[in-house]
Amino acid sequence: MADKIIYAMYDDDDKLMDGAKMLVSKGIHVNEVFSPMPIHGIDDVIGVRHTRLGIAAFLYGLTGLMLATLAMKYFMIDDWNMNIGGKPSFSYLENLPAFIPITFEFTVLCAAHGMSITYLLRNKTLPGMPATNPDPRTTDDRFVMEVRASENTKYSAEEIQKMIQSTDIVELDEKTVK
Amino acid sequence: MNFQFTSKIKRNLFILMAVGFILFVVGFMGEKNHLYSEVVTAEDGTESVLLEYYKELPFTKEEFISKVNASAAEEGISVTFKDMVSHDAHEGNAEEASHEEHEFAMLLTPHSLETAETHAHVEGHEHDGNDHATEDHGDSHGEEAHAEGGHDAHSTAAHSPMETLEHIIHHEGAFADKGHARTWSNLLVNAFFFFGIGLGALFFIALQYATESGWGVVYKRILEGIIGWLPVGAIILALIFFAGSMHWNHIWHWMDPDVMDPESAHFDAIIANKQPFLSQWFFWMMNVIYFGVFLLFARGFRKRSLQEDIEGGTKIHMKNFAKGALFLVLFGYLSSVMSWHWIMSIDTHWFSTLFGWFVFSGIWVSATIFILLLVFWMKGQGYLEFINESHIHDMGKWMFAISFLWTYLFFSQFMLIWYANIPEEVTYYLDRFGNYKWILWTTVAVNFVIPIVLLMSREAKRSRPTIMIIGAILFVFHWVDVFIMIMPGSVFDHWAIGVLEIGMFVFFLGLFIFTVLRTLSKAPLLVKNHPYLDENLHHHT
Repeated sequence: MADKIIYAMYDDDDKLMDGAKMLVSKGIHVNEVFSPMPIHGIDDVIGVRHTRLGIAAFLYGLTGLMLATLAMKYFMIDDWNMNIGGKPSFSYLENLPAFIPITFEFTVLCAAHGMSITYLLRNKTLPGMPATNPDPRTTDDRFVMEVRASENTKYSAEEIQKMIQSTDIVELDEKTVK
Repeated sequence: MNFQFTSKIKRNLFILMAVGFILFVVGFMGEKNHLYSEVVTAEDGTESVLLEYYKELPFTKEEFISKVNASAAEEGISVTFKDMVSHDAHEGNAEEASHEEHEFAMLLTPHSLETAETHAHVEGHEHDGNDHATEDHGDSHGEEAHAEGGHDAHSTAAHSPMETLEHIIHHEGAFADKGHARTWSNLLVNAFFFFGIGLGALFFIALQYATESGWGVVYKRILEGIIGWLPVGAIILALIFFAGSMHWNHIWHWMDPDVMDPESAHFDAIIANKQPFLSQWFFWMMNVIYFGVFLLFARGFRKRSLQEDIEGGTKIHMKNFAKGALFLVLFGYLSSVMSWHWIMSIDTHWFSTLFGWFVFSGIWVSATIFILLLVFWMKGQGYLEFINESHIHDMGKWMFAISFLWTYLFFSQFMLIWYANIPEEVTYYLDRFGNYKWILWTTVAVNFVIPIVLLMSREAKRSRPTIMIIGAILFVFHWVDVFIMIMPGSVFDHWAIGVLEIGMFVFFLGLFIFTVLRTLSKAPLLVKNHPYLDENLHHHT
């Protein structure tokens, strides 16, 4: 089924926000917004589901914490036990304060790297990947809103275009995909 | 809109203060002092308890010995006594002889009745020693106890003679405290904790001015209300310091002139080189600077804030920016030195360069918690409708983050001392691990684990019940944190959290909230003409 994608371009984030609010109030579903910077509040307006990146970060952090603990237990206590600061008790628990900084650092390392890589993969923005934004100017000073006709069967494509034109746009573009 | 400080709220606060005061008086009446006890191990492995006291006691040595013997007989152990006051050291000095009248030092060795043979051996050993003042009632009483103790034996079998003796000493070695160490120390704990909240609010407002931040404009009047406590808190603290200087209390060991006098028998060589810092004139000079700087800046910020409401423009904003930055610089130095002077010097021999930061993080997090609790309470009363979820979320993030700053600094201080294991540093933690162990670790665990587990999610930081419950718990445990900083150096191992402590905390809380609300009621709850006000009212995260 052929789908029509309508791109509405704005030169100001507030104008885009007002436009999106108007469209949403008419019952139109805005699929995506492309912007050179974060627009506060836009995700609530167009109804983007809240990111689960935080949960992923927590799990990566937990992984790092466990890996660090297991590794240090093996290196420092089991495989070749170390005399730590003149405290040769050879017990992980009794020497725990010495292991905390590394546990902390490794937790942060895993959480940060895991989160970054997940983010890049999920957004398909790993280095060298083709850009998915409709217009290169959305990385500079333009803001683009994407509305799909297939998601708004209540209105025809022409009606949607008319409504978008009533907002403060600078350009309107339409693309048909198979 | 102004906050209406209604007579109903006032009445409730007065009731709170009255309840606190009554509880405090009940605790004050029952305040006990104790003989200083220390477990010593002889060369042959025998454990004894060394009891010492240097002031007048309400009972004589003989009375004490007979009381302990009576209890020991009931508990089924016997005790040998050895007077440890050495008379040779002070020979021929009239002044010190008069001092000696109050000196009490006695070594108590417990024996279970099954080991009567070893008992005899130890006794003989003691007589061989050259101490002529041995008081030995253990022998005759031991026989009596043996006869009586037969049927009691199984009930006390769970405790070693040492534990039983310590138990007896705890009761028989206690007497009414004329110096009121617990009351004074608690006054300091509460005065400092609440002064710290005011100071944390002052720091926070200066930080927002210096960084020209927009997110916290709606909180400005709340912060100013909390800062309103500073003059009251400063007066209470100054009174406690004055009492210390006049030797009405003995919280600060170094305030005793004998300790700094090389000629005195009580000369403390360890802190002799710190005499310039730990001296009355420097302490008071610095107190004038601490209080002067804090109160002057607090007054200036408040004055300009009210002025801005009328005048508008950006002139006041830029002036606040400059003053805020200046205050942060001064605060950086003063808050550290202040905490060394006021709190670290209680454990006079110990030192830690991190201590100032640790105290500061406690101050800051307590202030953040109190701001949130106050805001939610006032929202419940129908005020502060302009503070939205995003504002709450931002303040919640501070509470979350500063909790970790606190844990981080606690751990940094602890780990370095644990690792290096130098005697002059570890004493601090040995004192705290001895008799404050469970309360110390509970505090660290609560103040770290509760925020990290329960406040991590975005929803929790915006939810009224979550913040109220967690905030209340953390508030109490940051008070306990100040308690652990002060008590081990001032009342040693004889601490308790009883009606005295709870009563005084409740009283101070009532007085503090009263002062804060009174200040809040004097100005509109939302500032006017702040350059970032409009941005802030549309704040969204």
